[in-house]
Amino acid sequence: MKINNRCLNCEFFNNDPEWIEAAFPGLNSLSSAYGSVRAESGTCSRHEVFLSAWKSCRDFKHSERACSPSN
Amino acid sequence: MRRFTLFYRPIPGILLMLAIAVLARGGADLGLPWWPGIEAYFAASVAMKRILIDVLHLNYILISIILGMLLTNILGIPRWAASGVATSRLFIKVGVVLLGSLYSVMDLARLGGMAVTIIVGFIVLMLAFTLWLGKRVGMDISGAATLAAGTAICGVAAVVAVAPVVRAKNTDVIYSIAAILAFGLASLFLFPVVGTLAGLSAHQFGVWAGTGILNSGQVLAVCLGFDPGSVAHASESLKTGEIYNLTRVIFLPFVVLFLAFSASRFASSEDDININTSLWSKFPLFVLGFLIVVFLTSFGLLGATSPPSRELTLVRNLYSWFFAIGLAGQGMQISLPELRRAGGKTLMVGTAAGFFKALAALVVVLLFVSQQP
Repeated sequence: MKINNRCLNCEFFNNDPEWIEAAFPGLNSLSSAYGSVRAESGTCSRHEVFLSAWKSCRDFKHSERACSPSN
Repeated sequence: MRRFTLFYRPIPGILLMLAIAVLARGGADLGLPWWPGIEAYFAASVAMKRILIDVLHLNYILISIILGMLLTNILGIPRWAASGVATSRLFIKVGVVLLGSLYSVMDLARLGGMAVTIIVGFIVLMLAFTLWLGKRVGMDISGAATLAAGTAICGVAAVVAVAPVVRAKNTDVIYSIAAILAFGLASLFLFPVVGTLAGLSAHQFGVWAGTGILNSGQVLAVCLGFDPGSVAHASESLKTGEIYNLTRVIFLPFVVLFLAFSASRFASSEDDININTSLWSKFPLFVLGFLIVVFLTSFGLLGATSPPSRELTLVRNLYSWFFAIGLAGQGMQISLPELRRAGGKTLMVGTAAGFFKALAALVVVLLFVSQQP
């Protein structure tokens, strides 16, 4: 499995903090005050799972944003 | 220009959290001596003081949280305040780092030895109990493991840390968070009452809260609720409770690895588990800041500890305000409709595990923990 086929570069993957806080209500309330533990994990809209950016699967679809200079 | 916007955008929300904290705590420290705070009004009548403060422990911390909750659930968070309210975690993290000024290295060694024993025992017990109960009621392994992390370590932060390594479904994460928060909200008001009725000392209460409460933020709130302390005499329950809480937080990366390996036989062959990445990316770095302040205090770099120097007094006053502001903001983020999303097996297992842990921790405290550290 090539390194660039990880979820981080997949179109179905989203690990934007605001998106995650919206996807998981309550994440902020009296909770992850001590967090910093999410690392680069995010959600997969293809499989409806929360997973590490370094995973991969056969449904990988390359994301255009992965090619942008900021990524 | 964008940087400037990022800087000033949170200010209205931070001022709103500060206003709630002042409303609850009073404004004497901020040059507003004419406002003594809601807590002072509760204390003015003997009967009200006995019920609201001595038994229910409705001091400025819990009042700040309640005011925040009322604001959110009746009116909603105003749009202009949302960005600032989201910074509440930062206030709490900085507060915890400054909390290091309460301890010396000797304190850590004295409190830490027993804390490690009790916390490790409870992590193993709760992982086993929650995984077992989850399996019995038919939860799948990733859902049970996600919930087990939350009940065994530090609530929602642990859920978020573990969910990716066990490839949890989004619904597992949502249900686990809601179940833990629902139980935690009840703990916020029940723990101080039960602690008082059981006759726990401030130190014993700290051990109980730091072990038995699922969420880090709630440990902080409940310990300050039970024994708010003062600048001259820091809260004993907070001092003890935070050590227990930080001890379990430190174990988070190791539990993540354990659950990752346990669940790995269910993962696809394309997945891998990187030990170094898992350990370091899941390590709560603010704990290092806390330890640095402990060392600064121990070696006298913040002045004398008894009586506390001017610098130490300033740091301690500062962290109590940071907690009041941060917890007001955290209260503003408790949405009752969101908690109602918890349901089914996750809520049942989460509630059973929460009660089991609280009860077992209380028994351990009553049997093995002395009144004084």
